[in-house]
Amino acid sequence: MSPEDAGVLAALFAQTGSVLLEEGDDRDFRVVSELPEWFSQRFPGVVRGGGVSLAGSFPVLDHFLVEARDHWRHGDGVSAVKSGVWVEDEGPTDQEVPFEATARSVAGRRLLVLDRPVMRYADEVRFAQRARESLLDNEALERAVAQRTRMIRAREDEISVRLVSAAEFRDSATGAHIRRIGQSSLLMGRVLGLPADVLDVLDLAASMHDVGKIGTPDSILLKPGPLDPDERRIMQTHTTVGARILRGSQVPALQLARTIALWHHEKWDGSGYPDGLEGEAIPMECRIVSVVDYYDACANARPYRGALPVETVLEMMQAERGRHFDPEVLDVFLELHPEIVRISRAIEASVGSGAEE
Amino acid sequence: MVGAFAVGKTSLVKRFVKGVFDERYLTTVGVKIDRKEVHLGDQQVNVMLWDLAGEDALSGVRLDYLRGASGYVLVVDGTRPDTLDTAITLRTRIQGHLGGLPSVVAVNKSDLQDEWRIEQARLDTLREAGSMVVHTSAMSGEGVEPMFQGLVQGMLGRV
Repeated sequence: MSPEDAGVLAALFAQTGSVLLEEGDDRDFRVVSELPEWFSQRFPGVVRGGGVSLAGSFPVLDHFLVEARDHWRHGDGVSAVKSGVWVEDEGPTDQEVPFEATARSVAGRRLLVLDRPVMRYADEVRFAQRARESLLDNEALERAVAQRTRMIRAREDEISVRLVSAAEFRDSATGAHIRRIGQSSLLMGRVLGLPADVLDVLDLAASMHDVGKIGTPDSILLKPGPLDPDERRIMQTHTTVGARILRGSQVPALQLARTIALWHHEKWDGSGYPDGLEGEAIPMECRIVSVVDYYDACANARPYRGALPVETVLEMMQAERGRHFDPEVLDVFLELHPEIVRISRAIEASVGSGAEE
Repeated sequence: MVGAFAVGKTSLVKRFVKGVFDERYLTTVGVKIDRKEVHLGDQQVNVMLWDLAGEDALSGVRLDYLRGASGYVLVVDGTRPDTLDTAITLRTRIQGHLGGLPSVVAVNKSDLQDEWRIEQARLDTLREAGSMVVHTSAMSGEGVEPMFQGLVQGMLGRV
């Protein structure tokens, strides 16, 4: 390179605000390029060709020189390593000024370029600001959607609970029964491997299986004795009445509640009501409620009779295996019976013995 | 100062060094250097604060900036639970990179109690694991001095 070319190169560095330095064997730097104003202010008295010690002047640079020296020793002579932008406050107004260092090895000479990339830094800040504000907006939106979803779910639950409470209000003795059916069904559903979205609503939906009894006259619902055929026929309409109350909902809990309310008195052999469904045509959730509802009704006192001994009830249920009940569901129930008894006791404790049927 | 983006790292430094707070969110690019003299009893400690650009989906924290660090502050935004996950991930990466440096977890924006979303149990777990956890507010200044003082004490081996 001619001295003229070298002069042009040095002037170019000065115009771009960069300074080219070369590390000497004493680890001090010699200024190769023309000096930009900022560098002269930072290192007064230094001239082109003069030596300068950078140690302690720029903390990030001290840090970067470890990496730079490694590059000078082991680099490929073509590539460069950059410090990344760092920002320091300058002047009486603490103006933020960006710096960046680049280490490069040329013909065995250890070169360091110090830049003040003001324009590029401003562009990077603008880009990052926009991107991160957008990310923050997205985060806020996601939080709002999650909160809204929780509110909707709470609303669904409240609507369902109020429907259940309506039936409970008619016949306070069924309150504990409703809770037992819900919780026992959920336990059964878990063991039988029902999907998570079904388990999510099964307790509530199963609790509503008898909501149609709200349409059953007191004279039948609370009759202290066996029902005659006409009364039994009216009593059986609680399935279809419940389904009518619950139909047309977009709420998952109510949709499942409608199915259970309608078909929880269907039987595995097709002899149940209201539709005489048979086998797996009866939804699994209804087969579950059928088993736990039967057990609960027999093992607890009714208006027209006392509670039957548990052993008797379990024998009666086994006799209905494959007739009234899905064999698989019945087997799971029998396995879980001790746990179901614990659930019943816990509910009794919470509502008081007077609430038992 | 490390953590997710927009958790208040720069604001904490500004509060600590200059005693000011700016409501606007101004993102950091690269690393910002500040200095502060900290007095512990009759001892004066010159602290150099490296405020690193936050971690986001587009860019990660450059851990080579931490080479030579004496300690670090993991900053969390108490209104954004995900920023605690980011902090815990960063701490694991830093420990893998540099070993067990003194550190403190600053759970920032404690002035925004209505929007607080960080579960206390998660912070308790951090404390039980030996982390110093301080609630801070760059806006009100709450906890800022104690947080930095605690870190410096840890760096000097006084804790």
